[in-house]
Amino acid sequence: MNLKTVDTAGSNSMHAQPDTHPDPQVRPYLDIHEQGREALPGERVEWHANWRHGCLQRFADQGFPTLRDEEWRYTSVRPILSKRFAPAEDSGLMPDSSAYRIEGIAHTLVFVDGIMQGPAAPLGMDAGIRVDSISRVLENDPERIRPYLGKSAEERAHGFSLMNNALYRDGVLVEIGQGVRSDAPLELLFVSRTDAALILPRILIVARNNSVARIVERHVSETGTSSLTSGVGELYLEPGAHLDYHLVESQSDSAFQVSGNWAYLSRDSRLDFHTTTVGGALVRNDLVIDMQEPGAQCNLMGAYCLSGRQHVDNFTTVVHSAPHCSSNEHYKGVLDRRSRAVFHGRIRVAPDAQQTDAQQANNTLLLSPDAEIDTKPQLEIYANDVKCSHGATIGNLDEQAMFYLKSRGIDGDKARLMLIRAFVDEVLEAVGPDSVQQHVKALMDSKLSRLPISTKSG
Amino acid sequence: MLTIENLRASVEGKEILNGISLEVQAGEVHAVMGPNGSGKSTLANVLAGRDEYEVTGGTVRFKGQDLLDLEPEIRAREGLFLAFQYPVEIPGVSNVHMLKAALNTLRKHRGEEELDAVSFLRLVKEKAALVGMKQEFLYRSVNQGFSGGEKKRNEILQMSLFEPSLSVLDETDSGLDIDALKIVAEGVNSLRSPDRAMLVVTHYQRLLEYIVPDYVHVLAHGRIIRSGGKELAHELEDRGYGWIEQHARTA
Amino acid sequence: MNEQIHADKELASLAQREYKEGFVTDIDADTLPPGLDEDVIRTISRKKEEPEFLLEWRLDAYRRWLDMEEPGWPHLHYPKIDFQQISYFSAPKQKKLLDSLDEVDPKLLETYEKLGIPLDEQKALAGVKVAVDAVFDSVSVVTTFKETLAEAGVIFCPLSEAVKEHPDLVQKYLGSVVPAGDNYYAALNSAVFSEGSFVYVPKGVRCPMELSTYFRINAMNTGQFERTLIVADEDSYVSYLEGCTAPMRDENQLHAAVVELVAMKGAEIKYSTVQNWYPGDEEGKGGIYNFVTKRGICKGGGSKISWTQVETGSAITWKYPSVVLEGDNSIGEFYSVALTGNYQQADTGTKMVHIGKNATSTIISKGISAGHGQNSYRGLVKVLKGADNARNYSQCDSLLMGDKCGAHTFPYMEVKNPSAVVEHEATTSKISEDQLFYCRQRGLSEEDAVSMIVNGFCKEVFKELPMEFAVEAQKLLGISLEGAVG
Repeated sequence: MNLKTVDTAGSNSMHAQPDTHPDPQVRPYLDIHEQGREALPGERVEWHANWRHGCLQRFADQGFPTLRDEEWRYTSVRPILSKRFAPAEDSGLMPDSSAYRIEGIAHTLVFVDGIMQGPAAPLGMDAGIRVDSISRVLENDPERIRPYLGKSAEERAHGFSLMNNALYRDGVLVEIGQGVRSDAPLELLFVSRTDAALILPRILIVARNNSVARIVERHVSETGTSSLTSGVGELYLEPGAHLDYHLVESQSDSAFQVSGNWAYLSRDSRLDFHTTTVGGALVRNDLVIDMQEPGAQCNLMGAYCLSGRQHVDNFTTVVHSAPHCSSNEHYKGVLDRRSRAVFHGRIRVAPDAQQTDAQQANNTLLLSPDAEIDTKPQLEIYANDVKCSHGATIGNLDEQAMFYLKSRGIDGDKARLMLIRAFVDEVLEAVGPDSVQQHVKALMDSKLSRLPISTKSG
Repeated sequence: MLTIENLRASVEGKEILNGISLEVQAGEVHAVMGPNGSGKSTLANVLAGRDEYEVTGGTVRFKGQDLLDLEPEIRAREGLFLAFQYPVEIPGVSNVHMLKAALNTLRKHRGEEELDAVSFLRLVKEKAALVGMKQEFLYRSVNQGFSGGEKKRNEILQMSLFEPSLSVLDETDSGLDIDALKIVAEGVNSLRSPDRAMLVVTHYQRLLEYIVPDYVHVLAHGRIIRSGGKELAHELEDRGYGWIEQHARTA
Repeated sequence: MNEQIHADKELASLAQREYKEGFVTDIDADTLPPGLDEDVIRTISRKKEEPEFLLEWRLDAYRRWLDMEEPGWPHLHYPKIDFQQISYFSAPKQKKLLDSLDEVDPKLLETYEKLGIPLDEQKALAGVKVAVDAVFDSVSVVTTFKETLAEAGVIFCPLSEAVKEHPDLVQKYLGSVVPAGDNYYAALNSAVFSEGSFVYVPKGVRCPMELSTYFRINAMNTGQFERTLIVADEDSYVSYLEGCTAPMRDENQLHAAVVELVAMKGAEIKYSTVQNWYPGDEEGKGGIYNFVTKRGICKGGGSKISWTQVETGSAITWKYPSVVLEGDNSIGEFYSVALTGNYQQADTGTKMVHIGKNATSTIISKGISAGHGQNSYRGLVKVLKGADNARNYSQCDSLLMGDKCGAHTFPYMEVKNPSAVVEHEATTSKISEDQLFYCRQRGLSEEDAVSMIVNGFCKEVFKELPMEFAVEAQKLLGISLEGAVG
């Protein structure tokens, strides 16, 4: 059995001394911290400064993940580490946001190279939704976010999220007031403009009791820039809250993205999390859902369509910490050319989490002889009264369906597109707001129309 | 055969049976009717000994023994049979294997010799034909992939195989079309005899067209509010449960 | 609620069943003192009168092993093994290899009789014919039906004998499927392996009877490192069974075996295991550490390898019987039942590696966890680039009994060919109260009801076992026989 070994041994207790740090891949980022230290928010807030320093230390000790880490066994970050990324200067120029506008979304916060543009609160927003810059909150009222900010680092964290913790310069806090019900999506639009920019998005969402809200986190690039986005999102759902979250990744095909979202669900809350990925050279999406109290539920939906040499790794972890919670997860992917997708679906059911219902599925269409899918579901179950299942399928288009369509006079390419689109539609149709659904469908169509579709059917 | 006195029972702390008294003699068929939530199924399950139901008062004597004192399997071996409203599926366990194991346990309990595979198969095929069950169902996993009607037929097959002295039929008619209902009823009727009794629990009068009861009891809010002959069932069909409940209140 | 408690109690008693094979045979043994170095390996090789090539092979493996690390990825927890505290060779004192039962120490015969292993050909004739190679600690005690098999051209003998009688075959195939440096435990085995069986089935021969090896650990502080090699030449067929037991001891004992299967064009090998090493007591004390590398290669077109295992013993099980599907149109199968009760831990599964075209693999795994048992399925389905039209179906079901055990599933799927169809399904559940009550209402005791339901859960795997073994397997699970009329 040569399943690769996990590097379980923690690294030696090395201290974060940038100039002497032996790992040349980590050193530049420690330098960035050293040089930009003064400008970092929250350095005068003791708890925050301590936390940040702790993360820096861990990042220095741990470095970036390697293939020897079981959780990264299919994704090599070498392409990221072979380049140098640094925070971009604030150009002060708003991008032509109309180019990125989604029909039907009224409230958009724009971040250029990770820096928030304009005033935090978009005009005309529901008054019950408070939007602030994290650096401002740290300056004026740090206690307000103390219970929330940085909690994700308490668990096992990889080098990229630790780097964000250590280096992030600003972020956005969205607080949805108790009982507020808002159908209009709030969009957080991240535009990468400068080549080799290090972008460190930081998102903190607190959904108060019985609130209902929709958030879209979208990543785009201006003209083929190759940036590194390493984001951390922390989502808190108080009892009865319902959050509908859409992560849309349509950045340039040379962009790198490692994003992590951690969600904490209280009693009877519900999270719908949709991930759509069409862009990026190397994308890793970590999604960790902790259902901490009874009655919580989550639906995780993912769709990805890859071509060229794109590599996308969706690593999801669903933790059932309390009884009577349900989770449903469905990821679907279409892989062409030399693209590679990784799906890693971990479900953990804690000893007391009885009456758990956890379902998971991953389906992949391989369109090219050079594409690759590595899928690794993982059930860890410590409670006995549970209903858990997962399924995975990998295959090509259904030949019989192809034949049927052709026999009805539809030409081969068109038939193929129809079937592929129908395959991903199952997931896309679940996207809640029409505006966002239209957008992700359009993204998918445009991507599909550009696919050379290298295999012949048959 | 069966004497129920002032039986009270609750589920998860909620009182469902509110003092039921009922006497069933050998050879009799009793129907227990009532609207949804009246406690019909609870009565059937309490008699069979299901754990979720807590008996909070009263006594049940079955063939001279304290029934409530017995484990479910002992009740079964003593001759109490419950035809389930929702027969459960048991994947991988073949129907015929379960039937043989159960029948031989019963026979052993009665001091009869266990049947060998050959004579058992002969018997079970004969009984299957009686309830119109295809032989392939014998070799399938217990109730797995059976339609509603097939499941109920399987219950009646077991009943005719085990020859219980008291059969409790819990909503055996639910989910059956008229043809299936007739077959099931025929199976039940063929078992009627002077030394056996039956308790037929049902919401609708329809079943009682085919299994004609000697007595009809109407259950509401966990109590028997009216008892009578088979004509009571017709009256109920015509006038609805509302009528009788009102009647009971004003009486 | 109570139903579940009853069920748990019931299964606890099943899982805590008495280990009937736990007795010790009091016999003089030639045992090496504990410890491992090159001299120990030379001594083993000398005692077995091995040719030079084998000694060199062992030493090479040993040197590789020294550079390797014990794998950390399995979902298993146990104290570090001190490999210097283990004795690497133990043999009951007797003269050479024996051809007749009359010469075998009666104590040994008695041991196997107690275990129910038929060593007497005359007695066996009355029933089903199974040829047995009985391995006691580090040596083979006797091999039955050798002549009958020889008539068919089948070679079935202890590996140490094959090394002398058929060195060319051994040299050609030993380590060809599991190389000496394959993994930590395989390397250790390659260095110190002591005994095992060798099977060669010539072209076109259908082996006239089931072959089986019965492994028995007896000596204290001794590891068992057997190595089995089965070669099925073109268009041949063989069914092979393996059984194992050990005395109850408070110390953990190490068993690190290697099994290699080679199926040439059109050949079929069916390999069944009922693993019943001592699992330790109800407090988790003692028991065998079972670290086994089993792999088969479907070398030729249309060949087939099928692994069936029933794993009820051992304190720790680490084992992934695998198939490398090199030939076009080849077939790989893996059927497994693993029961972990008390404090047993199992991390077991399979690897199916698709290389040839149109190859099919099937994985059916049933895990049952009770008590404090931890049961993990770990499997890899790998479809390489040229493996057109690869088909895999995997199904892993877990049954949980009690609230202190765990069931885990770690399937890996790596697919590099667009014409592949790979499907995986997994479920985890418990015996429902409804199922138990239904059976009890039909007069069955809880014990019988639980047995029946568990047996039903495992049925897809049991039906793959040869009849005799299926019976033993069901007994092992404490389950009354199903299927006599079904």
